[in-house]
Amino acid sequence: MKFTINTSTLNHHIQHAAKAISNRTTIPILTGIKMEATNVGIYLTASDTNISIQTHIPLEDEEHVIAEITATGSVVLPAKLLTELIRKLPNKQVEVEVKDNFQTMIRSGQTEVEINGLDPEEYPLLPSINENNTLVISSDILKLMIKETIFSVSHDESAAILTGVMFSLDHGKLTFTATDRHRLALKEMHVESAADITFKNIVVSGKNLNELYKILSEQSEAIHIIVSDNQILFKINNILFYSRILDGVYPDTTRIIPAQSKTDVIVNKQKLLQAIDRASLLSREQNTNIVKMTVDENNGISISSSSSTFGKINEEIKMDEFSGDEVNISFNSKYMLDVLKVLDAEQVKIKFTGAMSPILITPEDDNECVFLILPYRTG
Amino acid sequence: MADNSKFYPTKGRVILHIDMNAFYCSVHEAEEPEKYKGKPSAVSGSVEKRKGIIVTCSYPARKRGVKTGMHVIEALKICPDLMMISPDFQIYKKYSQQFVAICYNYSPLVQVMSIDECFVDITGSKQFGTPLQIAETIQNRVRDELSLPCSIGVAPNKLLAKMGSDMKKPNGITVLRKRDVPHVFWDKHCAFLYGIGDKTASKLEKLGIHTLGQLAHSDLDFLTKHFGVVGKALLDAANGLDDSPVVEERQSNKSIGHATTLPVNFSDIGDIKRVFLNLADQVSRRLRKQQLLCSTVQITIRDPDMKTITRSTTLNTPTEDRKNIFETAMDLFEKHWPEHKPVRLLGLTLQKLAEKKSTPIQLDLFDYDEQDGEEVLTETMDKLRDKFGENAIITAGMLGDDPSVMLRDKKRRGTSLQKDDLSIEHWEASNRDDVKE
Amino acid sequence: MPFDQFIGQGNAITMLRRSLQQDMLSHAYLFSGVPGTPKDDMAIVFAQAMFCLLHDDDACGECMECKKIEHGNHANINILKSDTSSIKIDEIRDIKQKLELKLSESEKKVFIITDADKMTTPAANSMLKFLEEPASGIIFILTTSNMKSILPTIRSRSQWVPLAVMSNITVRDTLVKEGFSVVLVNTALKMTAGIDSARNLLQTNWFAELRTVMIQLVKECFKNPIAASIYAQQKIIKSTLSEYIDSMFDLFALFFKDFIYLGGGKETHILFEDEKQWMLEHVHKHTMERWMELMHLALESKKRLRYNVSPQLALEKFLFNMKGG
Repeated sequence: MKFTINTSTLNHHIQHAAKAISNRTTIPILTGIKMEATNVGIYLTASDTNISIQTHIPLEDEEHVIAEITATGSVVLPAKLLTELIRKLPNKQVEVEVKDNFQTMIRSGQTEVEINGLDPEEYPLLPSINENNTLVISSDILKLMIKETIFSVSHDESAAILTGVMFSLDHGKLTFTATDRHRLALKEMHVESAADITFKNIVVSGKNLNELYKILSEQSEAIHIIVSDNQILFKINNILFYSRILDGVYPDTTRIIPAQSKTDVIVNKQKLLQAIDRASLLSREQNTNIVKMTVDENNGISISSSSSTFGKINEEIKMDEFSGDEVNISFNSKYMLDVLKVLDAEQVKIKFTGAMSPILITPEDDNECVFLILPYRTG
Repeated sequence: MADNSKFYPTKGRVILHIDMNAFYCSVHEAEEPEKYKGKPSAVSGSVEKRKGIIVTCSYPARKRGVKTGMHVIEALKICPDLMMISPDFQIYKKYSQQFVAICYNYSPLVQVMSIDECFVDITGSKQFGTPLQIAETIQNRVRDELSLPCSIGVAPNKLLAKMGSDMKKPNGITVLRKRDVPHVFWDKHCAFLYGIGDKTASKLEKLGIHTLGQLAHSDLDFLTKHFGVVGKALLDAANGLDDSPVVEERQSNKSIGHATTLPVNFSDIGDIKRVFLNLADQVSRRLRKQQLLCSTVQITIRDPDMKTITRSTTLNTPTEDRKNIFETAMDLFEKHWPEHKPVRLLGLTLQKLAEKKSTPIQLDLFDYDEQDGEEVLTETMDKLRDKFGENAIITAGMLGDDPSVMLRDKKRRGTSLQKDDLSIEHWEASNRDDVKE
Repeated sequence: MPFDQFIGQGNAITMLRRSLQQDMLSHAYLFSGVPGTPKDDMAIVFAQAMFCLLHDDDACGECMECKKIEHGNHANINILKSDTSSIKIDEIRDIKQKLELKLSESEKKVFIITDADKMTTPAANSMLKFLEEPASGIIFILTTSNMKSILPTIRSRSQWVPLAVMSNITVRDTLVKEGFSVVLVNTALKMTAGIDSARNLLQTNWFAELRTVMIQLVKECFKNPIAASIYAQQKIIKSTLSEYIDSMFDLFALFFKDFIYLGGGKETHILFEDEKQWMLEHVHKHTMERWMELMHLALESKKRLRYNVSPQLALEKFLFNMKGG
């Protein structure tokens, strides 16, 4: 294998691929990135058996030649070294050449580096996935869906299934659900797909989605999502992002979302967020982050918290709309702040269903996302 | 008043360790001297069944070769006239409180270690006499007022006091000074010292440290390398140093616990579940009575060789629920105890207690509506039991004929220890006493 | 590498091949055998055989799958080899995390845990959970030299594969066939357990030399004790052999034992056949008691090494005592 390539393009792609590299792998070959030069471009593959990423560098784009292949072939190079090295190379161009026994020469300007490569034949094959079950979604929307749900996944390894976001697709409606038992986030979007594709209980680890999130661009690129029995593949422009699916049955959350409420409130999101943020400063005792909220027609929303060491705080916010009973409830301020931070709306609607039952938060005129927070039971 | 100051160290402390000798048997003897005095007797978990285990035995019985931990049948073979006594924890408790009350006459700093032993810090008790006089007074009063024998250790710290009370039994008073350490301890095997278990001793053995003298002269870095922070403690202990304070624990409700010695060794998981269910029932009920929640659940397991382990776990949310406590205890048990390994004693202790009123509980999405119902049910059951007695409502699965069932029976509570704060060291200690003699 | 390499393990191999042929793999295998039996290697070969592209009931050792496994590069084979004295629950928890990912229908995942007896109670109990609720496609291979320390419940839930202790004669013939000299093989077999460790010893560049030097040293001691000390200085202490003084004491002991055999008229028992003539000439220079003393002296000296006595010092002291008696 021998090729020359634009250094910064190679660097860009290596950084993407390296997101699949795990420091903890016990499998030597997976500490490396597989590099393959073909007649249609260069492929970089990295994997920790949970996530696998393959990026494709075409030989040229509309304007420029990016890479020139002298000899096709492949090699596995140590990822850590490679990512550091390519970033620090002096010249705009870099030449990569594999010699006997996978000894690999990397030349750039006056720099010449010889790296011990590994046999690419031993690198695991990428999963083969039947491409029939494809749905298409725009990258900015996928990014939003991840952002609005991922913060609610559980970090408790003893219930592994809850550490993931559950994907389901029904009649072209893609739903993401995440819950850690104390709160829940749900986001729905219409997507393009063959009408007959449906799936449910596809659970993708929050950690993996976090890596995917970093790769997805803010622009609206078309992302193809393909689901198989144990893998999910995201095709992003010239990147393939594979993730294993978590094994197990996701709990049924449909019945958890209350249909009726006792009190409905509409309030300015920013004002509420700032008030709770301030109140949370005094609510750190014993990690409960507990703040108290009372709502009544005359006084609006009042937020308070107290700390035996520091003192107490009380804030009042005007509501834009109110209907129903008075409310007196305590909850974890962190949960509320997490929701308000990702929620994309000027005004939020908050529904209370009782002092010991879920609080429902949605954007004012949007039914596509729902957030639930379970309050604290006190006294 | 005589000036006793010269009998007290200018800087250090004076600690007594008071250890009631063969406590359960002595109590029965005190209650019914005509029946038991000078005779071999033993308290066992289960008398009628004849397959119980000796919990403790009187000195005359010990002379005949009866030992704690023996099967009743075995003991009766060696000593056919051995009088078997059913335990009566109400009386033990009464006597225990009385002897502790005597100690409080000489210092407010009394640390009750278990039903039959305590530490007393008498550093500031000069007005009552010299340390030795105070020890004698306490011993005499316990004998005259309660008709019970006890041994007392007098020393500058808890470790030496504890070792001291162990040296002359029954009815001994032993003064141990730091300067006594070399000639009393240094030629002894490491496991001789209170606090050094068999495991540690055999590890020391492997490192070439056989005696306490060798340990006392070991290099701190070397010990730290092999034992971590415990290394320093080992070195100090071998040199007779111990600066742990006598902590007055009478009122504090730092934990709620129960332990039960089983009439026979249990190894069947079903039996063990039943014991834990009963333990969980009782401790959670006491927790609720005091309007508390616990965050940590600790279990105690002792095997037939009297080796004891404790394991604990902290819950995600504080609880008062029997089921929750029971399941946590079983998880711990199954995780830390090999299947089918026999068990001699089981204990369950709730720790990190907090007032229910002031502890917020994060509700759970999947069962918040059930939580409420469960609570109402528990509350109703508690009320019924308050009114009609502990046996009024028993959940299936709690029935059986082992002593854990008797936990509800105040008089015959099958627990060998009946104190809120279960601490393992003193079990080790009190059992070692029993076994050694 | 195929199963054939494991000489004398016919029973175990037949059992494993049968389950491969019938495609009836158990969820767990427990390979047990005394130290020196090739448990761990056989576990690897068994895993290779499950994945081998060429054979159904054996490993070819040549195909990509076999190679990946041999190099530890197979993504579906996890080997847990604990360097520490115990296998802790955290290490088992790593396995649990790997089990939480979904496998495709045809996929297999193999977990090899060597020295499984080193599992702590919590580790063993959580291991038990996997065995109680076996997931399809997951295969555990545990190896141990200490069957008794394995939880009975783990034993009862795994397919037991006992490895045979090879008879010394089979082992000797095998090694001799491999080209090692008979006298060396005999000595090596006395000093190690199992064919692999014996072969390893024979393959070292120092073993044969150590043996020669040891014999020479004993001979020197008979002739001229002062020359013997100088000889020891030159040949051992100042050479690379100084690292193997502990093995040298083993050799001394075995050599003296031969004298005891000779003295007792059991000529067929001796190991140092090549020195038989010389030994016969010298066996009467010492009483039987003295030969025994010398043997114990050698063993004692080796023991002293364990208490961090410097090897040179131990050897010199040993030589001194040997002359002295």
